[in-house]
Amino acid sequence: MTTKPPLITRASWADMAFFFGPLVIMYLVFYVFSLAFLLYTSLHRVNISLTGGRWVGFDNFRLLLTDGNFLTALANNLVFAAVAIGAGLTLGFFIAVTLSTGVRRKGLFYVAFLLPSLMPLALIASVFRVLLESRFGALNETLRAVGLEGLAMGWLIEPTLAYGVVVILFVYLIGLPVMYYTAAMSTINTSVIEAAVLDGAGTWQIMRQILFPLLRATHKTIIVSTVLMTFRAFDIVFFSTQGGPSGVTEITGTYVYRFSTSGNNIGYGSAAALLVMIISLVISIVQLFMSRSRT
Amino acid sequence: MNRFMLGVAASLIAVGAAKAEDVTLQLWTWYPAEAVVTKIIDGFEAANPGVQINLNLMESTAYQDKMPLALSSGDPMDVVAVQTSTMVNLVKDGLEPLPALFEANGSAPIDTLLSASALTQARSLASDGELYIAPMGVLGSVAMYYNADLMAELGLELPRTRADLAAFVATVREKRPDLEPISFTGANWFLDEITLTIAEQASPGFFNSVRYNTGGKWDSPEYTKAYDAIVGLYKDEIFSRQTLDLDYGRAAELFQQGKAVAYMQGTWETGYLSAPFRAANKITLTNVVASGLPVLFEGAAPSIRSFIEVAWAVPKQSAHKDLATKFIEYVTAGAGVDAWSDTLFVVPAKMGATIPEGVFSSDAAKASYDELSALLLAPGSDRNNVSDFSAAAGDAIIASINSGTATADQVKYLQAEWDSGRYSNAN
Repeated sequence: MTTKPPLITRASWADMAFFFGPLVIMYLVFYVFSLAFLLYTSLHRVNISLTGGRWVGFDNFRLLLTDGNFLTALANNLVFAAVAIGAGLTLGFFIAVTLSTGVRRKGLFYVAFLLPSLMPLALIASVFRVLLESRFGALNETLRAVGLEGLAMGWLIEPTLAYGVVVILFVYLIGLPVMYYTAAMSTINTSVIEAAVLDGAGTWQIMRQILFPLLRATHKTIIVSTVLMTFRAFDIVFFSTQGGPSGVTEITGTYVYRFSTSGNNIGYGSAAALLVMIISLVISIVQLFMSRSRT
Repeated sequence: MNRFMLGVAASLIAVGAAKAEDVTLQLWTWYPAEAVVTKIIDGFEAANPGVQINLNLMESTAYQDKMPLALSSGDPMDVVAVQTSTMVNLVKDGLEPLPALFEANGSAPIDTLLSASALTQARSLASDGELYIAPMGVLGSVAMYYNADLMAELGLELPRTRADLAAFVATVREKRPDLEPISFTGANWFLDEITLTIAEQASPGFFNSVRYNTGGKWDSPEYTKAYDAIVGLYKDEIFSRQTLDLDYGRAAELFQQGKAVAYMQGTWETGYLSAPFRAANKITLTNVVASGLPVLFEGAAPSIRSFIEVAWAVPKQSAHKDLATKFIEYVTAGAGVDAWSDTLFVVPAKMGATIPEGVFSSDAAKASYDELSALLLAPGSDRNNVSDFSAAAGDAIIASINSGTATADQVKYLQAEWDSGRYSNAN
């Protein structure tokens, strides 16, 4: 019996152009052209009309790398990413394992943990902002009503507390790691767990020495997706603290927004956006290489 | 039959002739709201039989993209609204200078119809100093709005000095601790607005001297004094730190709900003084008065930085420049002003403009409006902000309020940032 060559080698150029053409065009417009445009504006001093730009070479990048506010924003991105990854790899893993053991009404728990991750981030951050308002927010009003006025603080006003609020918001989005782990655990061969139980392994030993190592690929997915998520987490910060107070919780997204919407210095905003893109790409590549070398 | 056919032909010719006299003007704008623009258009059409206006209204951000493109593409446009910002330089090559148009088609030279300060600001937006736009009016910041009913209940008067303001706040806290004395957004840009208003009270023209590079500095005694003043207001608890987490909408909401006795914002909120505005927006406040920010220094004077807002222009491609000019005169300096001036969004740039009867619910509200108008039409400096730097300045002020960072360090930092080339002020 003869085997036909794969479809892709039988297709003509016309067929390929017909099926892949629209996708290629979209890619060229939304990725390649956008990237080229970003690169062009980042090397110019140009206003919102995007005309009459003046060549400044790498001056925008120099200004960027000497701005303490930008470096703080970048550091915040990495800190929030580290916290979100840590929460995902520990809390997310623990929750996923617990729910997979047959807890009663686990459907309700899945909804409770997943819902924040599926709702618009702007909505969640805005609700938190209203709840935590110092003067009339629900949290402080409740604390005052039960006689705990001393605990009613400026959650979004004190720099340390505001930082903690943003950290909590990132941890609150634990649903996606839970979902990844739950999906991955459904593919694990249960005979491995059964054998460990028969050998007398306790719950903690099974989790730490069997399940956690088996889910290495999922850890990698969570780490990469979380890092990229924090670089895109404009909504969380903008609608909760707006990067304040005094830029303490600023991330690169809110920093780029500030300069890109001011009108007269789009080139600087473009340089910031380009640099952030390069940094997040480098982080992803390094992480992938490190994961690959371990396996 | 022949006579019948002749009659039909004559009628057709007459109708055709009438239709040939009808003119349709293409109007492009993003503001005012559709209901208000429609009222303006209806008034102009009623006053000019045979003229129809086709409205192209879109949201502000979309307008910034579409109007310049349509102008440069030669699309049919007769009257365009222009945002009083960098948009003027972007589109000016496609616009007709207005003085000549008004000389030819207006009832009087434009310089005699609109306020001098508004026209000076309009000219300053074009790199060649020509007048391409006719502004509807001016707005500015900072102004204070008061719930007059709550003030009467608490036995309060309008505060005019720092001591008055301190007493005002103390009285509210003592008698009605459930109320916020003064509600305002703690956003960085607004703290910068307040600080600049304070600076202008003692040193009129300070902001212009910095903005237009005529010798002003952020690390100058004038700004340092204002910086210390705003930090001092928080330190002395005249301004509450609890307002630092209020955003724009929430601060306004507290005032509208009667949870704040006073509200601080720009004069674009002057609609609160208007009874029809309150009714249309379901605001339950019954009596509102306003003033400029109380004077914080001995010997200083109330001040509001102001700038023109919403301006109109005639594109070069207009086939009806005469009617377009008439429309612009109608909406900025003619009977059309009454169609929008009751919104109180801007103080009309029209010389001797008055607000229609029935807008103000009390003499005190009218007097408030007159006070704000006078300040807006005689500003010490332009409210021509550099918004990215404004955020940085506000952040510095918040750092001083929260962490006690020294004023001397902060103003030096701000001057270095201003000179860095990072912000929109740099060439």
